[in-house]
Amino acid sequence: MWRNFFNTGLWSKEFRQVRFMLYAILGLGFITLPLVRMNRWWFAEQRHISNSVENIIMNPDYEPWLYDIMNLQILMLVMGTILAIWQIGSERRANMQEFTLSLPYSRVHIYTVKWLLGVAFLLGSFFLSTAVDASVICTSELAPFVEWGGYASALLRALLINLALYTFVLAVGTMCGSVISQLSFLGILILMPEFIRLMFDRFCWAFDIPTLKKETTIEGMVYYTSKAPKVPTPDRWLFYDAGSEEINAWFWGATIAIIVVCYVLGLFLYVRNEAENNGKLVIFPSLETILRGGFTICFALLGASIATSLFTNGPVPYSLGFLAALVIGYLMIRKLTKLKLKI
Amino acid sequence: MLRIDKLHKQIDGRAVLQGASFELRPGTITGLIGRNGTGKTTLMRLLTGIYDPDRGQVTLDGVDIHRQANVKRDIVFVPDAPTALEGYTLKQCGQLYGKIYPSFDRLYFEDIIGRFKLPLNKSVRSLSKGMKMLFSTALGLATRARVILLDEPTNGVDAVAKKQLLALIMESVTPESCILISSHMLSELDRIADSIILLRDGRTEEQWLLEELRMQVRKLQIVFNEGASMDWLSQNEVHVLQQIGRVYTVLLESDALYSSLMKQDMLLVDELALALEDWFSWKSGGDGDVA
Repeated sequence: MWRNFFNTGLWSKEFRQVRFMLYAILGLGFITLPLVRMNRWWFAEQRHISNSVENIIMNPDYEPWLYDIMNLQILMLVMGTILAIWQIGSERRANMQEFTLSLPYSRVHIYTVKWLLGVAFLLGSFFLSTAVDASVICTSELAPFVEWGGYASALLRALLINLALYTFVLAVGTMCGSVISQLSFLGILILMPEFIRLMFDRFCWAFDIPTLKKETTIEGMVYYTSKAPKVPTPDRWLFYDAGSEEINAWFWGATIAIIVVCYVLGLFLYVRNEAENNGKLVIFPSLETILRGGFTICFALLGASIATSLFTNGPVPYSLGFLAALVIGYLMIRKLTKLKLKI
Repeated sequence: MLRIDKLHKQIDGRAVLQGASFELRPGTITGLIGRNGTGKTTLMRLLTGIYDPDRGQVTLDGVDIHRQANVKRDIVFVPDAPTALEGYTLKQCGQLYGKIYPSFDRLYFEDIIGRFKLPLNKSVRSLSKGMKMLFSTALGLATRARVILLDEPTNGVDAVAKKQLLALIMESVTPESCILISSHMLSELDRIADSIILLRDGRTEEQWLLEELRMQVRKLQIVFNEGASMDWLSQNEVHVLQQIGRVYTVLLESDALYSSLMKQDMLLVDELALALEDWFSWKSGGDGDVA
């Protein structure tokens, strides 16, 4: 079974499809981390290097090696997203997916190879970049100050966040019919928590529902907190500060859980892939119904919010804006879901 | 061998296939014909697992290809344009297929590439439309898969290369393998196919061995003496292909009708060779405009 799983045919085909991404990830990874480090600690003038050393001695909390890993993390978030879009969304154009699905491999096999290849790309380039980076650190004046445990922990954390986002984008691609829809859904899903919070505030404001809760500290100080539900926003997690002290078991557990859940969800949807709907916003008719409903309501809430901004704030403008946007939103999404892009 | 059992498929709310059923037998070439939009390509895609059927199944030697994907090592689909392979050179395509299909015959592939004078080290993208079809057909045949599905293989191929391509297809059939060709070039199918399947309204009710079809259906040119016998001509199993004055070209599907024709007042009756296109025009209810 395992011999069949690592059949070189499918791996070759999948590798060839995204091989330029490997070169890009490796190249940009090198530029972002080791090259920056070399410029700062190898090729810089001695007085600049001495300044940097002095800076570290004077500020014990200053850990420049960690912030550079943060740069690599952000780069890999972008590269991992492009990779996932290339592997799934882009494959839906020009009969590429038809070719893949006609091959003698199960869909579980195909999806898993795609995912493993992406993971290998990200892991490989992370380790290569940091291995070169670590070599540069070891041979530079920075070496005595580096706390390697913290360095490894920051690297592992960055890697996990990247793998989670990559797995998530890949899973999103299994329900989208094109690159454009995969990108759009990714943006919508990332912005959704903030949108919900904002719309909740607007609703309360229009209907004069107090959103601030008065609280008092033990010392008797009064402060106000919002009643809006505290939805965790993905940006805080994605751009988790590499030097942050807040890292805990919850972070590790949640990130690993995201990877597992997204992989299983992606696999579940890919097995049910409806290639005949490639080019549409979503490839599953059942999800199309949910999308229509969700889009119409979100558009209506946005319309209501705009109406209260343009006219006076109150229940009437809010309700009128809501109703008008509800109709417009429904007509828009009905048109959009009927479109079939042939790119 | 490959058995298609009551396949149903809906796309965009339209029932494209409504119970298509047939069987491909080893050692045969089967032509799949039907008018534009009747679902020939959809059917081909269902046979290779690209699409999942809503109902029904496709089995190879009793194994459902949608459940056991590895049996597709014996099924190869050659689409009407090799767009997915455009980034590869011809040689790289051969190498890739060699890794995917265990019986891939590299020597045979390179021999055909040489025979058609195709550039082995050039990318598929750089080939002309006709050359792409020659190449992808050669690639498909070289897999030595037992079931080869060709979608419009002569699309854009010039007359000389077409002749070579048809010869190649014919010589590729072994007693263990079969080929299904979807084509609108009925004259070609007439020459190389053993049997024919007509796809109409998502169903495959008309399936014939070409030899039997030629025995069963007669094409006659008739000149009636005193004007045509309209009663006789309007019968269900008589199809008027053409009428020029008193000269009628008709198709008949039964011996009884032929006997009744003999009782009509005729000046002349002449039996012509039945062309697949004539039969298709009759059965598809059109004028022969097919794809």
